[in-house]
Amino acid sequence: MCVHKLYVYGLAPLLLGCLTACETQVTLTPTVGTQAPPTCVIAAPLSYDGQPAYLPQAISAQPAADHATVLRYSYDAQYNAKQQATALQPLNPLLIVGFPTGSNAITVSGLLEVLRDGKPVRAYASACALKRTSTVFSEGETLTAMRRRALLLVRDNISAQVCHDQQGLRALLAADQPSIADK
Amino acid sequence: MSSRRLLCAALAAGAVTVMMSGCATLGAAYTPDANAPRDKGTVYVYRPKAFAGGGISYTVSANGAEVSSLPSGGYFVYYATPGETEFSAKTEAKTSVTVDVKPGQTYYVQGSIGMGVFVGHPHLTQVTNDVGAKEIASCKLVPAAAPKAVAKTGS
Repeated sequence: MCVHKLYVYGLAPLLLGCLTACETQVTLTPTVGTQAPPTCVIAAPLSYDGQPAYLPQAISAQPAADHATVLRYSYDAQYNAKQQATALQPLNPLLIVGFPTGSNAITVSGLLEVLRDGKPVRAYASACALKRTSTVFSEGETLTAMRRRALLLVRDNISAQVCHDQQGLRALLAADQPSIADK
Repeated sequence: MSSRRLLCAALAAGAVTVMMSGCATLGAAYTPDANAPRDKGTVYVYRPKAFAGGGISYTVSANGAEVSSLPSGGYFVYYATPGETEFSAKTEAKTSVTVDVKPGQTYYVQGSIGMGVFVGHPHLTQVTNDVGAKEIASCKLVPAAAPKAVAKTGS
């Protein structure tokens, strides 16, 4: 009976540990007060050559003519995959309870810059790291899905930052108007 | 011959057949591709030679269209239209990685095989050009994989 209990109490935390390890861990910085959808839209000339879906929703592209101030959004994704030595894995009895066989990680960074005459005068940055482990039973999320999720989290984080700072940003963009009036 | 011997012989023949079917005749040793179109990105998809899982070959697709098989120690070149290109492979598990392709740039996608229940799990990941250029040097061209490009892009 005691031995039976020992097995149960010993294996339960191990199984729990393995199962929780299968979930994708998400780290997003910086922490913004609200992650709700943006409630502001800043219209400005935009320089962006990525997918429209990954553009912060608080930004709306405007024709660039006669504007000295331009917004530029860019992002980057770095993959990091690690696999345990496959030749040794069959010797590991814990694989049958979901012991990790490897891990996949991706780090996505996004940067929204306010450029005046080509020089950055303000920037909003965000980074998101996703990590998940694989087992013999499941590989979990693909890197493609992780990349997309991270890009959307970065997009929303930057949108939230922009909306928190919308007064400052609008003031910056408004300062651009006299140069248009001069012409 | 007893039925037990017959069964053993059949099992051995089956195992050898399965193992041999995973073997592929590879072509020329790696040489950097000099014919890449300027308006495309060049993606090298390679799989370093490894003993474990070496008998398993899997098919790599780009944006859902099959491109080439990828045996252990093999590589192929893929000319991608600028934009997002998703490389994927599947055995009993699916793997996929998305490369953000820019014209005139070179990218490396590394393939490998991990442990599975019945068959190994394929893994594809993008590596830096330094790592990719070093690891692909010992790989050989997958013969059927002439450089290909598709117009289809997008997520």
